[in-house]
Amino acid sequence: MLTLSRRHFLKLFMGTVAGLSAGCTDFDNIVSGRLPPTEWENPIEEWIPSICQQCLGGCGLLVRVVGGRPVGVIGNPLHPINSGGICPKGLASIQSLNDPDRVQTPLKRIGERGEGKWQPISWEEANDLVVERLRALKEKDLTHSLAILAGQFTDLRDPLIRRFANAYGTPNYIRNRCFAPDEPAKAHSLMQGVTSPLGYDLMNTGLILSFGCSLLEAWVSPVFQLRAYGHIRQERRGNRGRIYVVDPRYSVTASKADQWIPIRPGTDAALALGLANVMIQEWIYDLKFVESNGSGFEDWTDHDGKHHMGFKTLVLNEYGPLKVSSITGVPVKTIFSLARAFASTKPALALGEKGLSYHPNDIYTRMAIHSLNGLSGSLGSAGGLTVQSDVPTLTWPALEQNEQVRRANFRPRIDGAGQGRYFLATDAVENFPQNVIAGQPYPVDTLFLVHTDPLFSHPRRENFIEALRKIPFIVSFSPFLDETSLYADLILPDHTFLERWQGSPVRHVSGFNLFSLGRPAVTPIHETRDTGDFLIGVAKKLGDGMAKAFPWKDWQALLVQTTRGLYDSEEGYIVSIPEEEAFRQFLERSGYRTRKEKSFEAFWDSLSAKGAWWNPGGSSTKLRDLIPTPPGKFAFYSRLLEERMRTAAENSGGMKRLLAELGLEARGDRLYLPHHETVEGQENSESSFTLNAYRIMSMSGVTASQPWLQETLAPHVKETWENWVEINTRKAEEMGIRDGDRVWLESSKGKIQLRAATSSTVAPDMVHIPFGQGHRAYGRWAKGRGSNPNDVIISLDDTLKGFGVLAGTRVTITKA
Amino acid sequence: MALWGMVIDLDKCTACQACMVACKSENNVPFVGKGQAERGRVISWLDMVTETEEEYPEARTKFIPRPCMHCDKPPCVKVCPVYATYRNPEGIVAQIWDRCIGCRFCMAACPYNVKYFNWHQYRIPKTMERGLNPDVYVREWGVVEKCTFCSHRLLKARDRAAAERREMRADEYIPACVEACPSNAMYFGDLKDPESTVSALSRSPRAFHLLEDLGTEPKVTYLMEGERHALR
Repeated sequence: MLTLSRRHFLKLFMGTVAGLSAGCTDFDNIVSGRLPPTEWENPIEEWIPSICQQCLGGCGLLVRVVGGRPVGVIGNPLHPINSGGICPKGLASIQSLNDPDRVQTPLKRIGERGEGKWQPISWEEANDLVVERLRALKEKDLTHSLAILAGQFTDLRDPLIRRFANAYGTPNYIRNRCFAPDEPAKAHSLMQGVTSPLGYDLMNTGLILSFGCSLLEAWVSPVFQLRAYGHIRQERRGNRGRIYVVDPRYSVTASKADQWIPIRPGTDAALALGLANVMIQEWIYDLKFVESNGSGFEDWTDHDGKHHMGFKTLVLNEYGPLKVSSITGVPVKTIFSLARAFASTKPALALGEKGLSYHPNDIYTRMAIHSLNGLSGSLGSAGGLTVQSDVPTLTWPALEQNEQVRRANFRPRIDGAGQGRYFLATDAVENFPQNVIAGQPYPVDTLFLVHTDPLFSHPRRENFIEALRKIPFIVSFSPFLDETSLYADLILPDHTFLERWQGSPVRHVSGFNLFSLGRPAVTPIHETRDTGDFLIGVAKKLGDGMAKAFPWKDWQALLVQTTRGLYDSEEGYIVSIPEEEAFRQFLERSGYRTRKEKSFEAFWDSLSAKGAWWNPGGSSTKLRDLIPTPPGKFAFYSRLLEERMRTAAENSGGMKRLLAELGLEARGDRLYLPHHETVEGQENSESSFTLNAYRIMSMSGVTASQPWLQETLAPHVKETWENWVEINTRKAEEMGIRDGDRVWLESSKGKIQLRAATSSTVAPDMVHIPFGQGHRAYGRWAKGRGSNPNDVIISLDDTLKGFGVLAGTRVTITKA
Repeated sequence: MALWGMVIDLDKCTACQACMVACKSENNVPFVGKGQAERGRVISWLDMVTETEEEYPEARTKFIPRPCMHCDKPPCVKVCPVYATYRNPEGIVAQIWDRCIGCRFCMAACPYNVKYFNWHQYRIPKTMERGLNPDVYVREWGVVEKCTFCSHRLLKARDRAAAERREMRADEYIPACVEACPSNAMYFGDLKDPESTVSALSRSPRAFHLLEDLGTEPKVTYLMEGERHALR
């Protein structure tokens, strides 16, 4: 029932009167009706800069705060990544903040693991429990048995947690993510030797050839990409950029592209090399670049007089258009015309980083795609590739480690990353559960979970559950009761991102260096505590080396000191309105030194008011920075890969054994050249389909608890509150399935029920399911909605990247 | 007096749906829940219209964001028995929630399906009420609601200008969807001013309106997608 206070009644009455009188006169007051059922004691309106953490894009937000309550979010117009734009996920972050099912106090488990019985405790008690545990491990010299599993976030928390692990003495800081935006892509580091991520000059490119990168849905920095799309399509007079999309799925990106090129899943490498073949055959590649800056293109002889095969020979001999067409299913004519279009447009970009259907042959596929960038000479040119330099922030005091800590840090990692068959992987989360279960190389005593939910986000759920049961003490820092947190012993809820100080160096895709600062938009609603604060507090309590490693009072003090690095570097600028920026550039061109902030305090004030610092000229387009590999040449034949493979082989019992473990079919020189590896799969049969799970714009797993997004899932399928399986219309008809029917999807691992969405755009032998739904916990809006495709995905080993392969599972479909 | 209008460039639109969620957030549009959604009762003042032609592998899907067209000759106004929906002098087709009796004639009359009915009083948890926009009323059940071009923002901008004793500039007023659009595909402004961006764009050879032949004279103009460079 509506309870009316006197004040409320008056307001309502006056609203109506105003509406009526306006209605009689000039109809100015257009909307009228009931007031929102909240009281606004102090209606002061503020706009507070924050950083979006709904995905890893790193957009700047402005939170509209009225009377101390965040009531809306817009994109920060000054922020260089999104410049005022925002995506649906960012807009819904208000709902994440106000989620009724957030963890409100620290919780201690009293029931069985996974049962969900909790007892609220105080932060002091929680702190003591963690400190005691860590102290006991330290006394027993078992610090390495602490493992920290962290998910996908872009924040200074990453270096903070790394420092915590290093100072405490554990090598086990493991990131559970299928893509690392802060590291260069493996193919880039192997072919160019870069140690920083590459930037893509999307705004100025003439042609984008995307191999499965869903630019307009869920690539690295969605809003930046959307901006670039709008820009190249209509904002460059008479120079409308072209986009070609190679993808087994007719994605939104494909539908907005100039042409969609459907391809058999897992054969992108063959197509890329087929294009290279045409370019070489017709002499339309960038001869000058390849001759002066390429290595391993022609056949070559090494110091020992041994003859090696070059890229050209391999491509000409093995990837003729006819053969490539039979592998990929792409018509020969399309291969020729695509190669010609790609080669004749300058600048052109071939995108293959992230977003491919993660098959086990991943690394070679990405190398093959990247070799197209070499052939078109787009490195360092406007509209091509640049290399991002470091953001000058990390001015933290050097870490002092005693002998015990150093020894512990040099122990092998639990997940085996960097060793044996995982020699290329920085994290090997797919291997974590098996090793924990086996107690190899040593048992795990304590596990910290930071913003990660592997029981939902990783296809090896069963293994993870078993592994979690083996770990005696688990602490989760999640603000929500997610699947994995249900298995924790302690939940120490973090703030949601609108409630906390954030500092985030961003250096991906955009091509400029950026540091965003986010202020808390609201005093924390619940009794939560910033995980950064908590870790610093724990370190202080642990004493000696640890306390020394964390000299800051709290997380905010750490941020202040970190930004001092920006101020001291005297590089870059705090973002400003376009007029100011233009004036500054004009002054600098005319030889003036522009005024900067006089003191650090002024710098900090300005930064926290505007939300970001950037260095527009911070990424290098010089070839020697782009290709720092020892000879300074773009490596079509990757000697770096050869070196690392040989070292790994020596350490793990010979090359033969390593290759068998990796499951590679290539031998000899081919191992270090981009090539196509056939994907093992179950036999094609009439009744089975290849499952392709993909990401949509509005669902990233963490956003499933936000009702606005649940009712705005995707533009191409009108479904709400649950996910669906896309099936070819004709194929569905043959099986007696109509649009909207419930169907069972079964693989050899398990089965899930979904609603069928029939579409004529789906290949007859494939089905597509969006990720992000199917939570078994995570609050009332997410729990039990749809099904998680991870429950049927048979995750093959992804030895070169370490996350786990998500593609290639065969499934059968029956009507439910 | 201005005449407000919108231009949506389909060549820049990426179907990301930011406009849809921005609208929900700005206008306190309720979410209806699974059961109601199944019955087609999702309220979305700005919706994404999708159309697929042809078949694999030649398929073509088109996406069209669809707010209220704010017609100059709105069919919904003609049928409203209680004068709850009307076209105001600045061209905004508005709806007075309090006056609406829920007969839904306007929903039937609108050729663009932009009107939505509150089948229930959609309640949200107390914690989520904190996030409601204080500038916009929450609608009761039994009331038809629709896009208002975020007219509360117009009132606010006008008040601000009045307080500062100056004329309001056209660019001070911009609806939430236009503000959010990440690819800058949406434009908003005064159609009466021949110099404004929206006027210039609506004269573009790419310009068209939805269901133009009905004579509703919509004030939302679309720009066609550019020519595709298909591979030959």
